[in-house]
Amino acid sequence: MNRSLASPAARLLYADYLQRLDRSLSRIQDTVVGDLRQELIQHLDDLIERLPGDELDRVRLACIQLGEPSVMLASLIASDDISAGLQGWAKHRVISGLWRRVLIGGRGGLVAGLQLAFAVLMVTLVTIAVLSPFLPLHVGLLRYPDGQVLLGVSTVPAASEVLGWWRMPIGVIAGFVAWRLLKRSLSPST
Amino acid sequence: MDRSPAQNWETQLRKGVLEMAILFAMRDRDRFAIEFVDTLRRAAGLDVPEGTLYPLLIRLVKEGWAQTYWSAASATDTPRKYYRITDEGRRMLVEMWTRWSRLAQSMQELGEAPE
Repeated sequence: MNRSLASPAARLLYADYLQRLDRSLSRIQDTVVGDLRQELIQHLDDLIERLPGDELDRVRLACIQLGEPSVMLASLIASDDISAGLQGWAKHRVISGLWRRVLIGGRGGLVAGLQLAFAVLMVTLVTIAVLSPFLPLHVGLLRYPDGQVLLGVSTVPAASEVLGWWRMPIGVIAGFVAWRLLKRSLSPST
Repeated sequence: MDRSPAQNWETQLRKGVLEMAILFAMRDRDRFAIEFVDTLRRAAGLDVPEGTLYPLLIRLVKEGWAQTYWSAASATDTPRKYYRITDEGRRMLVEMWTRWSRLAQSMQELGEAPE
């Protein structure tokens, strides 16, 4: 805490806000983080300084005005997740980042929703390819006795699987193509 | 409180021009974050929540349209992070303003055309 507050309640509120801020910032690996923390604390201090009311009210209002850190930093956390997922081995972070963007909403959320659907399709295709030797009637293009057809993974065994062993190369190649397309669509915005 | 569809439309429109408004605010002098909130509210009636402002400022820096530095007004003041528009940012602002003016003019002509 870089600010001297007289009231213990105000100090507690301020410290609690910083704790939540640090928690949110710790999810971002971007180089902007160190700077951003100092900048946001300065912003919070400025708001406390200028708002009306007693100290506790001013701290409470300043925290509200600056906004909940997890919400304020949501788009940064999402971008960071996506870029870490694209560059590193933790590919699941792409899905987590896209989901965050969907939750933020707006036009970006809509685009992220489509990209997320594409990512889920890609994961499904790769899962089909990997699991088909072990669970031949649970993964692939499954046909059930009632005529229902399902592409994906199911806990209920199907009557037959339509693609046969082709599902392995098809899953790997289609999954790879889907990944490349997803990566290309995400590159400019990350 | 329920907002009318026209109010929602205006909110979306204002969000769309925020980047241009922030670049305009930096055109004459370097500013720190809270100054953008004040300036845009006073001069353009744009309410910029902090949750929108910071990701936007970071984006402007990453695009190369703005750069930052820390500075204190005096030796006793706390240093603040200032944002300065770059040459590339100025070029982008001219481009944005040209496109915005063209669009606004088209809309005006459309609105004034006889039915």
